[in-house]
Amino acid sequence: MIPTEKIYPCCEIKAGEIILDGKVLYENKELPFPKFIKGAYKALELNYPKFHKMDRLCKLAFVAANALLKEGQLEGYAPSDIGIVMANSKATLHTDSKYADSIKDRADYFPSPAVFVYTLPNIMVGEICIKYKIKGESVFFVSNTFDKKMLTEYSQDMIETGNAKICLMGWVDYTDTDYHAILYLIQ
Amino acid sequence: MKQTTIYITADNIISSLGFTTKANWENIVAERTGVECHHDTSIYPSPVWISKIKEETLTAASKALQNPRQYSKLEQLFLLSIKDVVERSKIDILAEDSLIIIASTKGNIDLLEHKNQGKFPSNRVQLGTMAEQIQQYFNNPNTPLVVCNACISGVLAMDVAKRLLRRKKYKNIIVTGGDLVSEFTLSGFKSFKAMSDAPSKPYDKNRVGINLGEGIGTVLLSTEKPVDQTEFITLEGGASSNDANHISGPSRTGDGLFIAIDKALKDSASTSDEIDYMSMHGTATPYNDEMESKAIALANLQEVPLNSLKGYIGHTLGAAGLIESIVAIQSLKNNLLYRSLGFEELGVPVPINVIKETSSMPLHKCLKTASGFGGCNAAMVFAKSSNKTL
Amino acid sequence: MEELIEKLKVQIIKQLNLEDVEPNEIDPEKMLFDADNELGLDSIDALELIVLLDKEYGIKVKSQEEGKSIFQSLVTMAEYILEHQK
Repeated sequence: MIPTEKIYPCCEIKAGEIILDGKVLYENKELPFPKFIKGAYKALELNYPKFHKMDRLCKLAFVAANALLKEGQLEGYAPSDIGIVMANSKATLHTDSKYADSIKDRADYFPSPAVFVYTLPNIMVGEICIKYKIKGESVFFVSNTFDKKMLTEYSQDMIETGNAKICLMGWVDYTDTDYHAILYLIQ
Repeated sequence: MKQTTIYITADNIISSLGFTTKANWENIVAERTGVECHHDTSIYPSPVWISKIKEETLTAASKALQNPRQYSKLEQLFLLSIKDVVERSKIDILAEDSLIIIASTKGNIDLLEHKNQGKFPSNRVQLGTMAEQIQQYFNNPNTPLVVCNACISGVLAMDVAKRLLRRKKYKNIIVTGGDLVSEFTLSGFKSFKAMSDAPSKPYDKNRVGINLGEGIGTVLLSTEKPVDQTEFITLEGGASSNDANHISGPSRTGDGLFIAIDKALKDSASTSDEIDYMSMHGTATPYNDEMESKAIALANLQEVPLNSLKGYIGHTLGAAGLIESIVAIQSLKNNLLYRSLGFEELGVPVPINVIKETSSMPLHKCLKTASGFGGCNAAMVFAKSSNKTL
Repeated sequence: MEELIEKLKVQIIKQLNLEDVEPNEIDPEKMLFDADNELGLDSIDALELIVLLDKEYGIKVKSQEEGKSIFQSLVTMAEYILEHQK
């Protein structure tokens, strides 16, 4: 039996702070989310123009993943040996509402493909896969609360059964009033 | 080490072609399509070719539910489909070792549309809350899992169930997948210029895009061998992958889908020459079908007969993987390959064996694939066996 | 024509969320979707340009194929607008 309480590398973003393995990596508690996350993007020197096209949820996931993986922890793994198991509670509700607003008036009806594409939560997984060339198994769950135990066991199972050698696992949720990302590297 | 055997012991399909697997299968064998042109401005400003469940049919069917008006349209469809599977299989849904897994891309997204606001509590648009409604209806003791992974949700939800069953966490898992045709998804796919203004034509030279469809597919996956059957359908294995290429465009090489197929074959201890038939994703968009043909070649499956169900009931998004797997299982059971509706002349760069005429053929093992936005792919292997061979 | 091109630059930056790009950095003659174009536009951007033509100029483009020839460069785009605007 593998103890589920094992400590894994972890990056958490909430309330204007990015915390990497218990230490504050970036902090700006005054700024609203869009400015905060852009500040973090610059501070981490990500230099990835497509970042600006992502919706807020993807930006949150993308910065968290990049902060966690900034030491090149995935190097040396084959693309198909890296797994991703992620979840949240609101799926893509923020962008869903934005998109729904764009189709409510038939006289001003210009649905945007660039908004619509972000109305699927697994797009976060896709963005991380593109950046890190990850081609392994992945799954996105939606649940009202963060079930860390279930997601950890699921990731461990992927590794134990040989379906992955390392796994990015976590929770990334965004609403108009709150945001929370917490990602772990299970190995 | 021999894996735990996973039996598919009951299933249900709800679509424009009927409210049971049998009704859908009979219509498919008769080559009838549920895709029609709808001139309904409440769902889209201009006419659209879609496969839609008739409101009056649903209202009549929902009389079998307790308090149907408490549930949204999609919830009613989920409840009816699961109820059919529970009744057919007689499983103990109250048992601690039974679980419900739900696959959906957008759930109750229609509740967010302007015209439906205020009809239900606002949190019902959350998949977790929708799932609780379903769990509570059946008094199942476990919090349902929800897989929300674009167009591979249905296949991936079965793969999640596979993992939990092999780990002996549960004995019975009901996997259900469903999505509606809503203005939200219609307008989105329209903005992607991915919709066809006629019945779709998967793999054909003149294919131009998809028809959206709505429906539910539900299976019961069980580690208990059914006692009243002499022939068994088993879920042999499955896998997922990512293209790592683009969030909306399919891979140009097919290598992502190939990885999923290759892993699924390995997971099921199968080889490519054991596959008798393939039920593909086949959305009929130019790039998707092209990508699939390349993946098929990479997997050395070019000779294997294949079809896409999309010409019959459109693309049912989160339900697609489940409905198409259930229909593929009907093919296995009946040794019958149905015609890939809409296909006339090959229009993909790599030669593949698209089924042109409904025909009989002995079938033992089949492959199901799915691909979706976010660069995701999934593949799964199903097999038929009898008491003698098992 | 030149006036229209200047207007298009601003509209494109807004429609495509081109962060940190200034209008004068877009070369009107350069191929918009070329791999070496530093704007880094992709297939979703091409679809967004179709929305832009509809929203700002009332021009309906039916398919991605049709868009390809229109969106070769800012010049071809402006020419198309002048020809098709009602």
